[in-house]
Amino acid sequence: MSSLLESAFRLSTPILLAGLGGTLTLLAGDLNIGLEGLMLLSAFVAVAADYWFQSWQVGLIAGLLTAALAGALFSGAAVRKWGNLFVLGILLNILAVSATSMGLQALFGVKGSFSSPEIVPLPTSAVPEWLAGLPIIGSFLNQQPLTVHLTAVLAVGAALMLYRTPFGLWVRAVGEYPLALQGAGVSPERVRLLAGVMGGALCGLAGVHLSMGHLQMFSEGMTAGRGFVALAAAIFARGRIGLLVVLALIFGAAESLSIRMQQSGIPAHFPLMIPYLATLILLLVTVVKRRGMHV
Amino acid sequence: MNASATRKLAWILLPVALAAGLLSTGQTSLTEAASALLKSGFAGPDALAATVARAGPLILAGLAAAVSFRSGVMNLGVEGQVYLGAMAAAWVGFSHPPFPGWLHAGLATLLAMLVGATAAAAIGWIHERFRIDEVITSIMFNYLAVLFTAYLATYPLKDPDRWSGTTPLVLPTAQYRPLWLGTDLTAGLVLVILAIGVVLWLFYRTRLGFAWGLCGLNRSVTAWAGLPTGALITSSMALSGALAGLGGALLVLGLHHRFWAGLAGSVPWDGILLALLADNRPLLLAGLGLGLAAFLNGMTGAEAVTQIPSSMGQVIVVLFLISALLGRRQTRQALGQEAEAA
Amino acid sequence: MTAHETEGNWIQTVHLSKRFGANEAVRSVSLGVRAGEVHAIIGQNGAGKSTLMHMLFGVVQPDQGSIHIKGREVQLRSPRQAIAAGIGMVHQHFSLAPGLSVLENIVLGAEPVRYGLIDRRRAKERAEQIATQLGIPLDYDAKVASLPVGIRQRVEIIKALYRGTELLILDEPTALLTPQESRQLLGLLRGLAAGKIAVILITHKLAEVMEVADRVSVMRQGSLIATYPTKKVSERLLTELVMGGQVMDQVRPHRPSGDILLAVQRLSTMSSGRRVALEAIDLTVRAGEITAVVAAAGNGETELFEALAHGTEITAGQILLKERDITNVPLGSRMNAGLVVLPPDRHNQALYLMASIADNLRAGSVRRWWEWFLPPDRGLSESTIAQRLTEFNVMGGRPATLVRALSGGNQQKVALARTLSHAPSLLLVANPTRGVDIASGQLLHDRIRQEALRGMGVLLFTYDLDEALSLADQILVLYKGAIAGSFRGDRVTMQDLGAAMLGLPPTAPKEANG
Repeated sequence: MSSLLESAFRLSTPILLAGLGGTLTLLAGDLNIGLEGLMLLSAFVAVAADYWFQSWQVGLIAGLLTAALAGALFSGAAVRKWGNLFVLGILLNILAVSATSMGLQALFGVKGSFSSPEIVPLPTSAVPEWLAGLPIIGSFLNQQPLTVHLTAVLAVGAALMLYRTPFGLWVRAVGEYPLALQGAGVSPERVRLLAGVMGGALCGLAGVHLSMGHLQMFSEGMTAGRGFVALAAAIFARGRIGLLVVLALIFGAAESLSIRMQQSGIPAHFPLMIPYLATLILLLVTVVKRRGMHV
Repeated sequence: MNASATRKLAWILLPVALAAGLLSTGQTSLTEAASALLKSGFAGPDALAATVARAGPLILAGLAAAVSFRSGVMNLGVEGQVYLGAMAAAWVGFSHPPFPGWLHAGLATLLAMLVGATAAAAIGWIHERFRIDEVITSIMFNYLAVLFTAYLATYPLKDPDRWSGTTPLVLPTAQYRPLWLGTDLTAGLVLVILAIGVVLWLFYRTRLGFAWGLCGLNRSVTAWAGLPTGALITSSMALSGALAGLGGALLVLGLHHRFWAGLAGSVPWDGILLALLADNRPLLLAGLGLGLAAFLNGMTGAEAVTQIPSSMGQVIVVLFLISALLGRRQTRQALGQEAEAA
Repeated sequence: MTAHETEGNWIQTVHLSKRFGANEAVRSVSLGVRAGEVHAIIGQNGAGKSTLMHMLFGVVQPDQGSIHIKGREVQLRSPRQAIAAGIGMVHQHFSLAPGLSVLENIVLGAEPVRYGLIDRRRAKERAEQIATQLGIPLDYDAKVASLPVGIRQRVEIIKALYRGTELLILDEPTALLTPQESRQLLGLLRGLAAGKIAVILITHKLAEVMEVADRVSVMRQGSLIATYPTKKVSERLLTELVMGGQVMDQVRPHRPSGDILLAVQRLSTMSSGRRVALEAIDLTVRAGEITAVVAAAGNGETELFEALAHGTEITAGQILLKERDITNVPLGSRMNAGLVVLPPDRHNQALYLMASIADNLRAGSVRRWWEWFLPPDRGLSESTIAQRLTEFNVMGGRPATLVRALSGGNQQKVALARTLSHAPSLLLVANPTRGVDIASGQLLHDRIRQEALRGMGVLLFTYDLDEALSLADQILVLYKGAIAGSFRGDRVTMQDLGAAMLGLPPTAPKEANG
């Protein structure tokens, strides 16, 4: 049971991080559907940098920077109206898939996946036994990669930032009505760009968690749709961070359950469907039918 | 040369230079790589036939995306629909039919199209009815469809004599007849040309295609003009899914003759790229599809000779697309009077 | 311009000019506004008022000329710099974010910060101080979206004053207000002027100018023609200066009407979210009759318009068009029955901006399924369309022109041309002349009158009471989702309409119609 919870926390981490990133871009009005691509890119770059420099710190920073830069490019393109947001997001996703696949071949000479004992994992926490023995909290605290705890802090930080700081107010204002912000003398473009960078960095952390925390490897398409699950959660939560946390935990639990089911001899395909089905069902069940017109 | 032309040229040269840079990182010389690429992409009837055969599924997937994009819905479920179509075609294809043999290939194709159309129409309908973002539903659907067909190929419909995840060979009656023996050119080519023709006719010669375009321009205005937006979107999604399903059928009945997990590779997403690059114009899309197929075949050939990873082809294509998108001005969506059809 | 003339003015522009392509929007305008005065600026749409104000607010940079504040030349390169210089602007379209609270909107961009977080208490104290001075009570935690238009405007004004505004520019502030709300607002402006704030009021309502302004400047074709103290000028003279010789709308005489075309009986809808519920609406429109529906914004006018067009959310009642029940049929079928709709939002409902005029005119549904496979031009050849454009006097428009390239007035002509091309028996139209220049507005009004004379029924939804009075045979007032008054067009005054729009009993005995 406690191992199930442990893996649930570990698996909800990337969804919550990417969900927070998606929330920022959503509220700023430039919804980035390339979350998946951002995660994949940073997961790859992080592993590569970590492997070369034999340092998890370098890997972490490289992953964060890559995704932040890609997020900046996306939001910059959106601000400059270079193309439809969806198209830009799709391009980001496709580029990430092909670039990482090429990178695997070019840098490591392998196809499919790269793993090595020389990849330095993110440090994991060890807490006193009495703490580790506590129900739920113990599973959260003990033997988890650093990113799990960082994510909890970031979720609280994001909520504070969005609803209590000037910048958060600007982000919420710019997505809803950029003219309000412009009229107030704040540059909407700058706010959107910054939100894109921060959103990118959060997705980057999600990627780092996947390839250096949760596993110590990179494989093609290892994000497995988590970016889209996170996107659905972000759209659904619409800035309600508490709700986003709950959704991420549900998805994490579903995925952890799916892994458990695969180990028990059920054809792996059906348990693997659980997170995607959960996303669809969540969207279908909770969406209230709105009125018939697009206005 | 004026400034805008210079800019345009720069946008085109940029990815070429990037590609050359990427290529030259390998151990082989640039000219060697380029000649290997050209040889396996274009040189000789065999290479050309292989290119045309490879282009077929790409073009169908591209048309599928273009039909939905034109009406303003992002059918990113092309991948799932290709797999469902391929599986349906394979299933009918390897089953001994209770009907005359000459119907076999046709029925397998029809079922593939029907399955794809149903899946896509459902996504469109859900989008219309519940206002759920179709991007998310169609991508979730992809994962479900891919996993489901993989399950079928691994358990109930597995070829007992083969490794895991593969269905039996389709019967000869269900295979598309070869047009030139010894190549992959089959009657499937006729289907591809037919599909291009139908889409061209719908887009530029009918009110339906015109109305799809209006939906894509602005759905709210279209609804206020009294057009049935829901039916328009569902119908364009249905056609989109049918084309994707046909693409799946072509992969199985024309090229590989069986289904396996991962069969479509990057075809569906390359098709989506084609639709974006061609701005949903069918003829341009077909031309670019041929070019992409030649390029990808060339990269495979180059990989055999040199150390260049063939996945670099994908990266170059995406870079090219990005620069093409950024380089061009926001153009007007092609509607009725801009017909490119002769 | 000599130095002594600029003295005493809080702000002074000197030969300010701005050109957009071939169009000289503002030509060498020298305008001075004093602290403590209400300075009205009048002129037709396109006369350059907005461009001039955008230059003062740093949105647009002048090509030539300079701006002086308190005698010192300033460069206003962005709204931020304008705000810092003490200039505030209340836009025609609100600049409040509807999903944020009143307080959040007020402090946006000027948040008091404590430990990196917004100091809500200090923000509220400051806003409250300004609001109390002006005598405006406010609920600071309410979402702006939930507030009526009049209140939102006050929030805008407080927002501007919160930033230390010394010059407040208001762009057509009374366009969406009831006459009573307008009076309150004008009173508020006098209060601001008394507090030594310079106020620029852009308007096209001359009565407001006479009532509230100390001085008035007239703009025509980009130039500042004249500035007068209001006391020394007549409304008639101002009209002549503004129009430059054009003729005003004629009031339409009341005419007896034909058969009943549209009969709405006990129509009710649900309220959901911000939408107002309609309660048992009864109305009829006869052939040849123009019926206007007026309301203060947010009293069910949008809901009634949409119910008549699309029939969504109807819970009870009936809509009969030529005795045919169309209550539950989609818009396409209603159009087949003879209804056409010209929705209020030109850019999101009426026209495809990114398509050609020809494509816009060709947009339409079909009656039978196989017609979907006919050619898309619907028999509208290029020459037919060109002819239609001449008929509607669409200037600078050829069939292949993008609608986006047309002016607002010409866009609206295209929209009306498309609507009327269906040979309708009933036209449902909302705010047809909003944001449209006067000449185009008159053409649109004339076309609607002509069609009515030929027997078409018209149901006109408008916020512009002048428009209702000049066109309508019958005027209905909506208040909180119900019909609060029904008047004959030729026997009703502004005051009657205003009272009904606020749900007050009529001041004089009401002239009921039908």
